[in-house]
Amino acid sequence: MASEPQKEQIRRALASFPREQTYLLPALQKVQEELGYLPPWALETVSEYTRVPKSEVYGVATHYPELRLHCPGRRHIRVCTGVSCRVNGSLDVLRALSEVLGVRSGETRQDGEVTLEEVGCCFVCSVAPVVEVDGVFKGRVQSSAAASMVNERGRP
Amino acid sequence: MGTPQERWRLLQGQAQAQEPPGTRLAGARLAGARLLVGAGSCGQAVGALEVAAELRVGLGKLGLRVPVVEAGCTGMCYGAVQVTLNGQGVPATYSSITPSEAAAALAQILKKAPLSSHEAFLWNPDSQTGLPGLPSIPFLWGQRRVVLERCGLVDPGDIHDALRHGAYGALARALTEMDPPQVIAVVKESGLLGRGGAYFPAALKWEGCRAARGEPKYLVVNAEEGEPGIFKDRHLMEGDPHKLLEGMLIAAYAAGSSRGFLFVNGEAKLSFERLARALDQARSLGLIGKRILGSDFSFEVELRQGAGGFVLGEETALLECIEGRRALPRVRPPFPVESGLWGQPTVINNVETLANVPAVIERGANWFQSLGTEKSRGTKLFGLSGNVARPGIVEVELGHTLRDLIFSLGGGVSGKAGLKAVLLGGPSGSLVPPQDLDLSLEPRGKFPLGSGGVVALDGYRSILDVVHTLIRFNTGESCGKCTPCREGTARLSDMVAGLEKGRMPSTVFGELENLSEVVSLASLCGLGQAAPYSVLSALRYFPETRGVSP
Ligand SMILES: Cc1cc2nc3c(=O)[nH]c(=O)nc-3n(C[C@H](O)[C@H](O)[C@H](O)COP(=O)(O)O)c2cc1C
Ligand code: SF4
Ligand code: FES
Repeated sequence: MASEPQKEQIRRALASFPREQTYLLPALQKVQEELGYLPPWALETVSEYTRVPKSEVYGVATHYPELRLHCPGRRHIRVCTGVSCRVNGSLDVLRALSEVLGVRSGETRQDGEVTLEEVGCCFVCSVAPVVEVDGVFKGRVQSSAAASMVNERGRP
Repeated sequence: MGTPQERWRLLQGQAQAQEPPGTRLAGARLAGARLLVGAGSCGQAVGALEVAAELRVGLGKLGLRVPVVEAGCTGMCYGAVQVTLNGQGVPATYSSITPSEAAAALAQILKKAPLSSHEAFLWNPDSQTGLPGLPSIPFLWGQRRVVLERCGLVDPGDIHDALRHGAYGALARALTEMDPPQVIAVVKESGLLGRGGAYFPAALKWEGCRAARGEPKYLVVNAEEGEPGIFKDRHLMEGDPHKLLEGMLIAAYAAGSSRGFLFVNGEAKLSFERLARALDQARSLGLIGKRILGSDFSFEVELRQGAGGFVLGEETALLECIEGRRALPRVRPPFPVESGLWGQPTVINNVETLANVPAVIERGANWFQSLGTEKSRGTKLFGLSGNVARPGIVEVELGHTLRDLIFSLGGGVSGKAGLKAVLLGGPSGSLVPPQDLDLSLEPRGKFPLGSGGVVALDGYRSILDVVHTLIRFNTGESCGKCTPCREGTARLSDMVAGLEKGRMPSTVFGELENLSEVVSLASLCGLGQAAPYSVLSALRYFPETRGVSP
């Protein structure tokens, strides 16, 4: 359950939006920016604020891939396995990272420190293969350097 | 207060008077000089911000106050990180600068002198000061840069720089000399087609919206760009956001629209930031808002961010999203120009489409018609990636060939294995065999262009692995609203997986073709309709996918 200050934080964050359904997605994005994900109580707060029924808020929150209903790992690593990247060796990078981090693709490590995922394209295909580390793209990644790339930013 | 054109000239004069700050302090020899670092998404992924930081340190040590600008890119991603010396006559660009080399390279760059083992060139046909001119760079020399004219050469964070390079001149002209029907007539005559994938005439949408009943009328800029393998809209927004804003304003004026949404892909953070800044600056100069440049035309626009999903870029799914619902495509008719956002007339245009509009107004329909082919006018942006020696973004006249793009501009296939296939048009696209490399690239040709993704595949690649990647992507992205797409793509994906593992009987080919046809014909939106293309083209043109050795 949320603490009162947390709820207050969310109410304040929402106050800049007009209370209309067109601002449902911007409101959810804002809450996720504040909390890192969308816990059930926050969905309720958004529902009350935007006056959109809870079921619909939940529907929207589960529909868009970038909205998260669960707390992600502290570090978030995504390896692009789109065509331009996989023909430039991204599957090797994925394997190397999975080994170094000790977590399988698509999973969060038991200690909650790191999530490893595949992504269909990072839209910087011209510097393939691409890995996204905590929202920052890294291009021309060598599988041999994958480990150090993670270490360089503080190995989880 | 004068006509819009007179007001624009005033703004331009003010911009001219505000030459880049600090440059006068750099000493007489370097007055006006600036260093632009190619810091678009691709450049930043390979160290552009670090290069910029090192350049600043190096300049500091030399006691030079030359500004270092985090600009957009030239599109030459293969040469990233690039540094361009600007404001000293013809710009000079240096490729492949690493952070550790940056400071040491300054002495040569500021003199426009060659830098050993780095590609360097001047942006005009002539060679001077020891640097070769554009003809030495096939990647650029083979292009026709219209919408990209300023990308990589201006500061995307400074509207004054854009104004000095002529931005908003076409808007001022349209507001001064043309009424909306005249704008529609010119763009119609030019033959400009939409660049978002469907290639529908841009002016017809505006005309339809203008004629439809209902106020307000909306204009939605589709900057969702979610087709894997293409990144051209981002490139444009990061490099020259004012080009898009100017095109958007002219389109809104023509369509009679007073409100707009600029809808940017949720992961295109850099595009979003640069557009937000450009919007603020345009607003503060009276280029967006009430009575633009003193005319009767008013337009308000809101920036929105997507939240993922390929189908979100489908125009009616986008409208649903803006209204605050899930991104499920709508049944058409009614079409958005009659009943779009909240049931009002709505124009939806792609970023590249709108970025073409200023040049059409500025230089006229005849000029635009001189570009491209008889049936397909103008230029098109393509993204080159995969196993190509020089990946990046290029702009060429419609009617070029894949051979041109990959071998002349792109420098051929990287590695030794030769070209096996080209994926054209992303996950909705086709696999093009080498014997079709000389087909003219135009809308409604043998292979759909999609929005312009060109991925080269060399001889080591498995066609089935590529097809499986694409159909799996489509399956995952299907919104599930209609059964043929929801169930059909999943089944196609399973069948392709079976083929890949060599576990399918030969009867499966007929079944695959039949199912593909059903999915194509019976799906509600373009995602399902185009999802089977890659499967069909692979089966048709690549015997290896049918277990036949080539
Ligand atoms: C699955 C799907 C995804 C699409 N994604 C985009 C996109 O990201 N950007 C875009 O401009 N058009 C996209 N489109 C095309 C739009 O529906 C629409 O045709 C286009 O935005 C119209 O602009 P234009 O006439 O200027 O090309 C997509 C279509 C489909 C079926
Ligand atoms: S074709 Fe696919 S993506 Fe399009 S509406 Fe139907 S299920 Fe959704
Ligand atoms: S395929 Fe990897 S960034 Fe596009």
